[in-house]
Amino acid sequence: MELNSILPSNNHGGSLDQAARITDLEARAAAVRDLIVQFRGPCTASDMRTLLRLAQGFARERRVALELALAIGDENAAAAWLRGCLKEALADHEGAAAVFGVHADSASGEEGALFQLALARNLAKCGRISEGWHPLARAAGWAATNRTLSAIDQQIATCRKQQTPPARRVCRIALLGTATLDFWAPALRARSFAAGIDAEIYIAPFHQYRQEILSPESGLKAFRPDVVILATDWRSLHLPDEVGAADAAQLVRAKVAGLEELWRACREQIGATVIQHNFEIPETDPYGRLSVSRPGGRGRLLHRINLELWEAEQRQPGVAIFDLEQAASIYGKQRWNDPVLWHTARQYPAADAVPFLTRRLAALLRALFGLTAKCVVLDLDNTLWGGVIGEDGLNGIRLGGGAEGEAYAAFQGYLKSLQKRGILLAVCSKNNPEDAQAVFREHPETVLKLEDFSIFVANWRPKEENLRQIAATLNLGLDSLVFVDDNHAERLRIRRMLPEVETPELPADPARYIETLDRTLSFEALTLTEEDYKRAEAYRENAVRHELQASSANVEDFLANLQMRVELRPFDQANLPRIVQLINKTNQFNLTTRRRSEAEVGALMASGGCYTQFMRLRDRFGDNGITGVLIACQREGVLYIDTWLISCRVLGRSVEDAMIASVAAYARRKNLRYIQGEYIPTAKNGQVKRVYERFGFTCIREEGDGGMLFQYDVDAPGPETPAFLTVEDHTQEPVV
Amino acid sequence: MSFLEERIQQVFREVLHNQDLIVSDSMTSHDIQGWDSFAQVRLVIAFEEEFDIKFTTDEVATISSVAGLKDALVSKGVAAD
Repeated sequence: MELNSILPSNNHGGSLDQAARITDLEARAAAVRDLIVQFRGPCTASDMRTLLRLAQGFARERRVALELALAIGDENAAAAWLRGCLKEALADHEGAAAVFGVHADSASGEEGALFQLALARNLAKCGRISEGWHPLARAAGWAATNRTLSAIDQQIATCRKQQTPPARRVCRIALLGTATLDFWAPALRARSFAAGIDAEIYIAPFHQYRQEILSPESGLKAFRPDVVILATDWRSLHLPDEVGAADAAQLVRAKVAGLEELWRACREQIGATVIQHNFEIPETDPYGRLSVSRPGGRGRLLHRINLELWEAEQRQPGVAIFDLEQAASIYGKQRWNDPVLWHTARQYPAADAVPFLTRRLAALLRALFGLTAKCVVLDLDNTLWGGVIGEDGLNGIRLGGGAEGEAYAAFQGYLKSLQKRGILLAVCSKNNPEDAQAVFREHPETVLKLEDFSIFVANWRPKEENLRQIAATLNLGLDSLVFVDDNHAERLRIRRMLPEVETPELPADPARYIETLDRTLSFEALTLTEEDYKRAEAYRENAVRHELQASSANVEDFLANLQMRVELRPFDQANLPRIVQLINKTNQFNLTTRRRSEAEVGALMASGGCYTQFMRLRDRFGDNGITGVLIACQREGVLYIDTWLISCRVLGRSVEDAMIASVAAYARRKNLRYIQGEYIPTAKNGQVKRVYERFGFTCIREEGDGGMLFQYDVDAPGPETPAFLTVEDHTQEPVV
Repeated sequence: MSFLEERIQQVFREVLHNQDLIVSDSMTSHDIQGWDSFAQVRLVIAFEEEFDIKFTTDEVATISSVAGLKDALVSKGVAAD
């Protein structure tokens, strides 16, 4: 219910707008005070903007503003917002930050964005910039309008002058295309920031995408992007209304081949990953349904081009298709196109669609950089079934049968499918474990079974403690979790205590749970590897390993009993996706944290000058899969280890010994006397600072920032591989 | 300054990144620093968002004064005070 539509019940007249028109400041303040105090219901973004303007007006007379701020309390979101705005307008930034801070995490959507942005802005004005980054990221995720995204982008830029923003990934993104792309930049920067990506954006001159990619000295080349977004639109294909059926296939092939040529150039000459937009099938077409029913109709050609683009993505490394056709469909093609802005400014899609579009683009960027969520943490009562198991019992809860029960069963089905393709499920519930587990064991309509959960936490402790435990047990960062709970108070608590955890706003109706989780876009992926399909099983196997460890007398016994087999191979095309996945997401055992895209790794392999190694670990309980990567290159007569990382899943197994021993063997074969390894410090890799010393390397240089360079003389004996490891080393063979 | 004039000024300030900008009825695009043809489109989009209206092709091309903008808004039902 909009504040503006409240019917008058006092002497001062009706809506906020009317109150705003009262010329006498004191009378206006009194009218606003009366409206705010009796207000019920949510405060819309439009109301919030009006209240902000009103507050700025009141601040012209300090006394009026101060009295109003005192007269209204925190009775509702509108009052809190107005109070915060008044304090800000009076330059009481600490006070404003305190007021906004109380309410910022309760609100969602555009309203939440405005609260979070106001909080961040006032924190910055008090010099508390580091506390403002999370609110800014939250704001950028919630915002639904260009103006708010633009304001957030501005605020990030302002704060950046004093402090480097925290980010999981820093990157350079180039936007090239056939429409005006300038509006995308502030929105895309903000959306990327919400996803933990600090993006610098280059926009190519209008319609110059071919020249920028193909000419040797373009602005694009000078910019050295990590990602090139090719936003070509359907009009730029210049398809006629209809072609002859016999010519259709050739035309489709030619259009896709033209794009493939550009992708190849991006990969080979620029080393960037390409995000290629596919093509909207436009709503309006003079041929109507004929455009698709005719084999040579434009709509049909566009469908075929889009299909062939998906196939090309499979064939070509370093390319990801952005499904613009799907985005336009979901948004609504009638709103997606604005013919006035197309003719006056070549704006496509409509400006209003840019917030929606950039949210989807940022989701794809997250997938590209390995920053998507890995685990859904679920409450149970009224989240996975209707009712409370501890009170209603197995027969009283609603699961399957009946509309409400069907909605919950469908949600369970959606989660089950997520799990099958590699997303882990965890339970975090305030319940007795026996009551909770009984549903998954015995309820006839349950879709999820107990073994579908990688960890099941049911107790009465605060949920933030449980979430920390879940993250630690699954070896995941808090920023890999999505927390789903029907209880608003729990959601609020987790947003406050664990801001890195994504906590979507859940609607009251369980029929809408699926779409809510789906629209987070937090689980997008570019590929599915064998590891993904087997991830849940892998975690179960790991649980068995933990039991063995707990029951072993000592570490050596445990490791010997595992019967580990290590396989070392040079990089190959088939395993490239998984290798790249590891390169981009491993943080702890990662000596140099060099992130590379699939295109860049492919180029490295093709150059032939480097020693590459991936490590696969199998043991008695199963296959851990590819869990180690090493790249070493010759430089100045020395073998320099450019990249060395191991998945935290298999740390403490001495697999690192096998990897290093193989590098030493290679160096000896190539008559390279020295091996050098570098430690580049990050916030997460402190544990490997001196790992090279374990193998007989000595430190030859220390940097001011804590970085170290180590060197090993291959004439010295070793390094040894422990006897309990069986090693199959294929990296010494000539690569075919 | 009327309520409408305050809203118009606020949009100009946001789009042109200048919180100290003063906007009055007599001003044209020549008087307001930063109001070039690229800003024109940004202003159009921002005003459409602020007032929930849509400008015509003709209006997008020709609005180049605050008075002209105000007239266009009022003609679309925005209250004049």
